[in-house]
Amino acid sequence: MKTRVLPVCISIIVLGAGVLLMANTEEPNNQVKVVVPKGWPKPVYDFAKNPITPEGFSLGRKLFFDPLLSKDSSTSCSSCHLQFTNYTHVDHSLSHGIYGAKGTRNTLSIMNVAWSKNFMWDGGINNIEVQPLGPIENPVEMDNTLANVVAHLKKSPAYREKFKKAFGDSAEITGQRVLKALAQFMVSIQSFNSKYDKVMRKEKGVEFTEAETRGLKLFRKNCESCHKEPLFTNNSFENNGLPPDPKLKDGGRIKITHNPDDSLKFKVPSLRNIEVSYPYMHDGRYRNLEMVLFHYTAGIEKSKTLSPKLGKGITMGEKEKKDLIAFLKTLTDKEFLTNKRFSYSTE
Amino acid sequence: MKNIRYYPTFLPLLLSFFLLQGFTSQPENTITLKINPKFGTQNLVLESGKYVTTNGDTVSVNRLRFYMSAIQFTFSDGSVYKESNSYHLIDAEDAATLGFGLKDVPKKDITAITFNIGVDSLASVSGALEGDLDPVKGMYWAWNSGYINAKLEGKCRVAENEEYEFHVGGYLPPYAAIRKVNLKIDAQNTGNTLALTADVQAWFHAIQLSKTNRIVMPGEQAMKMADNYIQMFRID
Repeated sequence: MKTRVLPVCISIIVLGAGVLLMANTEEPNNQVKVVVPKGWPKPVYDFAKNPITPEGFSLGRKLFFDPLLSKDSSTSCSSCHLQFTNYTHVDHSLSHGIYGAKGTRNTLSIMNVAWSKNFMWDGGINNIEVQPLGPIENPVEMDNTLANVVAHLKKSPAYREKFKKAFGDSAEITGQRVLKALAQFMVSIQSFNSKYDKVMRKEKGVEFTEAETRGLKLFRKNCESCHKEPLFTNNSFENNGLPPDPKLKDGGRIKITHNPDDSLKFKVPSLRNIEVSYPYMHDGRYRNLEMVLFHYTAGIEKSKTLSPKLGKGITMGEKEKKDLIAFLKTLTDKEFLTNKRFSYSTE
Repeated sequence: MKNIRYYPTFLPLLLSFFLLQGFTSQPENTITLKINPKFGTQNLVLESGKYVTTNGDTVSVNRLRFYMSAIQFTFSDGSVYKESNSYHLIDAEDAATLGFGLKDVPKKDITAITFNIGVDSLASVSGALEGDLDPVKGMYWAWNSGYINAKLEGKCRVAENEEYEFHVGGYLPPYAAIRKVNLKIDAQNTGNTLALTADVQAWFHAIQLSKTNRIVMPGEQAMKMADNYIQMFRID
């Protein structure tokens, strides 16, 4: 008995490690594997506790696109997280949800979330699996409860079938399973095939233009300390000197920690696919990258919690700004934005 | 192939597992723990019951829910029984939650019961869990992750909107609201059932409902309320 169990244990471990190290996105049978690209840190998400299966992924995708998650069946996750705009709510400074209600913040992307320690602009959510509870239960997003969602799903023969396939024959539909399936879909949303990535991997025939090369240099000098490569975020919270909006009165991180040192601090977002993620900042106040750079070079408001990295200010001429923007546009990953696996499917 | 080095650690683990299977110590049985919700000396009747707090406020109670976790018994010989995977959601609305069995408890004199009110920090950061910890139970905060350790809701004329609502939780220092309860038990008391009184009156100790009637996030107020409600338990 033991002699049989041991080799199996070992081969599972070796296989598991092998899968993680393979930088290969093309899998047969519509399977989706989360990969750790070379040079990236270890993912934060614990895949061992929720192994991604084609069935679980497919169920998660169906849930992601289903307005049934909202109280009046009007709003789905994809209403505000659109694939072609990097899973953000394009052209909406403040995202809106059910009954036309307006939120107080700009939609964050769902991209490379397996590498995120916490979620939301204030970091209030501590695990991607429980992230969907935020929008599901927010009165201005989906205004629903997880218990209600589960009750609705139980009435659907199609969902009963999909839960069975994903979680086994005896599988009931539970809150945990709804969240695990959504997590399987969300952690699979990975972007690492931008021009920047290809240049870094020294792929044949891909090279930066002169402007992009100058832009990368400027980026590393002025932006890198917070928007750290290769994820383009250091996963921390910073006050980047935005004058607070007197109407929104949003203190950011302090809402969670109650610590005055966290006042006006917000999550440092990744800059991958920044070109298509407009508008910018936690309240979506800037429509384009030119306005963002104007802020960083001329608009920073000093306050007690201002990031020390911005204390001296950033100096950049108009030509340099153009170069930097040229570089930022190399972070656009077209394969990612149009990958059919992550689009609505009738499956 | 570097994972091959885990091989030596597996072997003793597996061996000890199979060895332990062979041993069965003294006789064991199931002890049923019963929770009796009360207000003072009266049995708690949700919605219709009217009660007076020590501060003189008249209240009714619509909802009482709390987590009991990490349940332990201490025996007269000093040894300890710990329930594994010990998380129980007690809900005054749902009689099925007011009694549950603790399995494989050694047949010895129990001198104390220890448990936590609330959910530990590890479970609070472990994503979507199952059973009583499933967020579907309505005891999980959506916008500020973590379990609601205990909930008390009801009506009171002097409160804003004539309602009070206490949702106590938080796992991060300095506002970690999990609390330990330790109750001594008389040796003659230990049959196969152990009944605990959960006296809701304790929640209102030094609370003026006209001023404090809504606690719905981690923080100092939640910490004080947690200190209040650990006084809820006694063995009548």
